[in-house]
Amino acid sequence: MPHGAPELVAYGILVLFSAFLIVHWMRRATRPASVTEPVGRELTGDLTAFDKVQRLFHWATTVVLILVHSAFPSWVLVHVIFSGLLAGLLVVHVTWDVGKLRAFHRMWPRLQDARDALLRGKNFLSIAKQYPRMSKYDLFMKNFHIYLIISFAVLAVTGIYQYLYAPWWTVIWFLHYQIEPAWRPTVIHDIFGFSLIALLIGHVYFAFLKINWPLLKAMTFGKISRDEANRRYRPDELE
Amino acid sequence: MSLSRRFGGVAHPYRTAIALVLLIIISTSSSGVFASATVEPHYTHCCLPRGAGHGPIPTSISGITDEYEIVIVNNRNVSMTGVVVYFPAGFAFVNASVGGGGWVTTILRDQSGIPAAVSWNGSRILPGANATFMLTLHNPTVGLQLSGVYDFLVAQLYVNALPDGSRDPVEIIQPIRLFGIDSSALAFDSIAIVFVLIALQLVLPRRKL
Repeated sequence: MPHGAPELVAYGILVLFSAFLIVHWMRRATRPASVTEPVGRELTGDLTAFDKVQRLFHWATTVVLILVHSAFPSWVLVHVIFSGLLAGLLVVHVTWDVGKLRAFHRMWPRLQDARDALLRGKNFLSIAKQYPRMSKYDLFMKNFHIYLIISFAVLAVTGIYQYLYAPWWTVIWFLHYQIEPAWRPTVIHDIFGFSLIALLIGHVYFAFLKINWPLLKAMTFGKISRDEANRRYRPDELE
Repeated sequence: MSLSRRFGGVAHPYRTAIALVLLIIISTSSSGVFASATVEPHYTHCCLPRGAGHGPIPTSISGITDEYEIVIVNNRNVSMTGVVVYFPAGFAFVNASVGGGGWVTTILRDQSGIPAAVSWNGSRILPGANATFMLTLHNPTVGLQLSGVYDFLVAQLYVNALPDGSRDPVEIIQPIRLFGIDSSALAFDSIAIVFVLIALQLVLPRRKL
């Protein structure tokens, strides 16, 4: 439960986001998305979409994030230790993907991503019948990734400050706000934390949709099959 | 001058003086010294468990108009002849009522004319008996994330005996309900529905959501 932000705001974020996912599911259950864009270059073999380091990072991050949340608030030190582990994983991720794979540009939103998102939005609202092929990362995924960077930074700063200077869990509840500084790190931590939980639920939802199973398999086993890639994706943008 | 005029000209100065002394005693003593009165917001009865805020005390919601049930138990062996309830600053008086007959309700005002307390006189609570009084108050608005604990001061007057009193806290918290449902329950139910839908797509034939 939130300790700084009003419950209505914190839980409201989860409710609104879940409501959107429920509406999305209903819509796509009655009208599935069918790709209308012709394939450009066809793949002749299976493609490695995620290497071992990327997959290991992804699943290790999943486990650590679950533990970060399940450990809180009873075990603040455990929460802090897992948060530190998460920071370590992020260092590995940045070093590998940006330093080794030179893949920073893949996560940066482009104009084409906005066009695709607009067309998908129109299709969702029955304004257009066309539906674009998917890239490895679409606009939502790229924005989610940008939010993760901002969110982790904000959560780290507010979390470290609380741990060192405003440990409200060490005082009786009605004294929380007497040790809280004017910039309200607890409130900021709560709002960013609950937004992160909402987006992670969205991430899990979209990952488990049948339409995205090829990418989910690729995140598990590394490869995406030639047939799947040619059917729904832009093969050039899967690598 | 008078205190009686200041307080609406209803209470006798002697009684008012006693009540003021009592108020000072109660407000400087720790809660629970006297335990013959309870103040419980209607919101705690209908919608939230007791102590739904942060502590084990009755809870109501910021900025709403709520009914406060004041239950007075006469633990003494003499009859109780009057009850005065001082509600905390920030609460706006709306209405007062009492179930049993014979009680005269008087609104006591502070120097600026704002209702600050309600007294009930004219009837009796016999030894061992109890009575319930109702106050309808508009709750104060608490800060964005700062809940507040407010003390209600309840004075009980007796025939030929020193008055009694109690200090009863009520916590005012931010709204926690969405569409009439507890927001945390609604959030977890919504998330559960999302995961049920994810599972449901497994049994939907030939559908690619």
